[in-house]
Amino acid sequence: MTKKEQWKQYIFVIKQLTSREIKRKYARSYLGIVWSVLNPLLSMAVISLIFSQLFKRSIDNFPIYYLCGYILWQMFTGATNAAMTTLVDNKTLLIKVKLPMEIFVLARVYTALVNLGYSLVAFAVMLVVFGVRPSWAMLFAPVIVLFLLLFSLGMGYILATAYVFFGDVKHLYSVFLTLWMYCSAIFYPIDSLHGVIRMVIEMNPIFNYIDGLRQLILYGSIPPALEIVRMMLWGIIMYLFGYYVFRKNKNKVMQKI
Amino acid sequence: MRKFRNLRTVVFLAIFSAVIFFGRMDARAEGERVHFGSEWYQWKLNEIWNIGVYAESESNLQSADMYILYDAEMLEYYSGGELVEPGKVHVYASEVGQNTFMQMLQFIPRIAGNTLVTIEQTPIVNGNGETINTESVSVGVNIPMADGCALSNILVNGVPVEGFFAENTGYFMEVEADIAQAEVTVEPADVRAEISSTNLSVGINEIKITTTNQAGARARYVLYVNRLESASDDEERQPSSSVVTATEETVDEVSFETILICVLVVLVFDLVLVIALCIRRWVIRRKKRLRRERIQAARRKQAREISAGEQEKVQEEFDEKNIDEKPLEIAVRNVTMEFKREKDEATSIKELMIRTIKKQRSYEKFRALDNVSFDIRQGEVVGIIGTNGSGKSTILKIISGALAPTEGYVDVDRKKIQLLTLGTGFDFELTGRENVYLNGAIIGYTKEYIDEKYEDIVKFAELEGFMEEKVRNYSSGMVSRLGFAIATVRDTPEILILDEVLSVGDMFFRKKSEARIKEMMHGGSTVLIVSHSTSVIRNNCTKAIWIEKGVMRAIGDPKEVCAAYEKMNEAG
Repeated sequence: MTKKEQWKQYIFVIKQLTSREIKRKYARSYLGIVWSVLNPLLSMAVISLIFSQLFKRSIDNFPIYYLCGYILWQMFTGATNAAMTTLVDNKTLLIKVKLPMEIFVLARVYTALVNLGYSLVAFAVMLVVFGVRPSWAMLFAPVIVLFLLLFSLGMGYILATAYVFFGDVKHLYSVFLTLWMYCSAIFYPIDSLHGVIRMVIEMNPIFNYIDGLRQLILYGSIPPALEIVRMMLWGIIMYLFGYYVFRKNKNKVMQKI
Repeated sequence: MRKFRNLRTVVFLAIFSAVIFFGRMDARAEGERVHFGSEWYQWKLNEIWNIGVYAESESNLQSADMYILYDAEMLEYYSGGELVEPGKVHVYASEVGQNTFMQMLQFIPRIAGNTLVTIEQTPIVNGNGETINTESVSVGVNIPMADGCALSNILVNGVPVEGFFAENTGYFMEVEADIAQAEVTVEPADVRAEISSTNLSVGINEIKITTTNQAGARARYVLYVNRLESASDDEERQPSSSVVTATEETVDEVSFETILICVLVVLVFDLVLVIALCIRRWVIRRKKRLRRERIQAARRKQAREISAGEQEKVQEEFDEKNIDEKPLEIAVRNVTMEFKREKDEATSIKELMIRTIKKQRSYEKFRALDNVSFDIRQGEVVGIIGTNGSGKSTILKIISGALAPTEGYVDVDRKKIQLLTLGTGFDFELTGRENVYLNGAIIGYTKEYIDEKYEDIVKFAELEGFMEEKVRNYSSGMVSRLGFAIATVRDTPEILILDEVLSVGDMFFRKKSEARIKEMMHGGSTVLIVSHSTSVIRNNCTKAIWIEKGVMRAIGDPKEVCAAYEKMNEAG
């Protein structure tokens, strides 16, 4: 089998694994795959209802401000949480089939990306409802998503490896995520903060991605160069580091499983 | 003792963070206050407008005695309270019995511009019977001016005021102590403007400029002129409006930030606590595991010593019998597989760290395979037998390349290998059709290949008409038939590895499947079968390998090896 065919085969496997994840999520429901769009749409509607009354004064168009953070955060947590357990969930597959282990992590992260796609459909509806004008800057959004994806992938590699050795990582990570969420300024304006906390939030990679998207959507402007560089660095460094950790422990993981 | 000290630190920290957290909460709980329904108001001239005044208490509000001040020239009081005098309205709440009291007042704006409405310091009686004086609160009201009222500039003593624009109606300026009268002129000159007294006393003076357009609508600009007292005394009072808004804002910010900090502190603390607990449990668990392993290792050593002699004998006999005719397909040479496990438990995090730094962590080695060597020649059908956990699947993983051995090597062309597994990755929530694609992808078929062979698979599995059904609703026989059909649809590979697949479905299908396997086996490919059923190996294999607890106990004729294996099983 040539290299190209091999890759084609891997992509086919990833697609199949992803379609399994998505189909099984709503397998027992009557509406089936429609829920993939309906679910984010409904939850966004509820959130907008609640949050349109909050922080009215300091942020204009707060629902959209919140939703920008919400969809990226959902993707990040979805990807990392799913990637974390993937090696353990697919234990039998790993042992019995000659596939590179990376495939399983990739498949879970790709699933999160597809889910983000569905959420974006709902998000587009919200944008229309709240009268946000489309601008050319929005075309820049895929770049942000790409780097966030790299970042999540790196995290996913690390977590998946760690989870094989310590089951506790799962619970630890959920606490950590709560902490992280509060530090990502998803539902409050960062302008109201000063000092150390503000520094922490500004250095926070997730906040960078969220803030970038907000500038694109709400103000129709490309984020400042420094922020773009930071996004790229976070994404690439995290990916390389994660991949390195994963590679290094590959054999140990197989032994453990 | 050390443990005890740790515990004390933890408890101290917990109390500390709790005090911080709840301390803040208490400070916020003192909540008697008065306020307006909105942060600011925008009204229109000569219409009736509402303004809500509120009194609040955390405990039940008993009574509140409120005086509301307003500019009687700009606003005309309409209804809602009790007019004490123009510019002052009285609202009295008694026996409220709720946390909040609200009264709607109504005013009619008569002059456009900006003005303040103020609730004076109010005594509130709360549920505990205490009387608490609230701070006074003001709110801004903006009344847009009608056409023809706007000025284009204001000059004081010939100097234009700073930052003039028509909609801004309030200006602040300073004049020297020796200026007793300001000379105010407005532009454009044709606007009818009425200017109040321009005599300046020391301190802040209000000069009102009221403009009127043709229709009689009025608007008001206000100049706050501060006549300085003398060089030494610089303390000034700013217009009350800006003071109030400024303090309001800082209060808002501080409380939000402190809440956030509190939440973060508590979360970080929880995280640390959880990590500490996790590490503790991990250490304990590892201790137990290590103890277990040490016992196992000792047992294994014993077993190895006994079997070593025996094995050599069998091997020699077998080698003599088969002097090679066919080329080698798989050569396993001195393969040892060791799993590293840490020995000598560290009892605390501190100790663990120190040991890591000093590199004093010692490891115990657990041998899954111990110096295993054998050859498999082209066209041989080899059965690997052994009890559970004796290293059968480890050797398979090493041969197929999923694991790298610690020592030794395996010489084989990995591209030729096909692992035959049944129903790997079947998902019971998907339909049969979807599972064919999923399972096919996983075991290495391309999409085009599955498309092409789909009909064959369905036919062989005898599942026509069931493919759009969810696998959840299949019987177990149907599931394994489908799995078998997918796995064996491919062309016969050169090296085939079968991991426990030869007992699938009902009698009829079993015959069919055995025939299929035999067909594959006799297609000239090399076959490796793993099983713990001796009958499978006796019937199909030309050679058998017995691996027990990581050690190769016997290799040779299937009948002899199986007999030896059964004997040991009966004995043990």
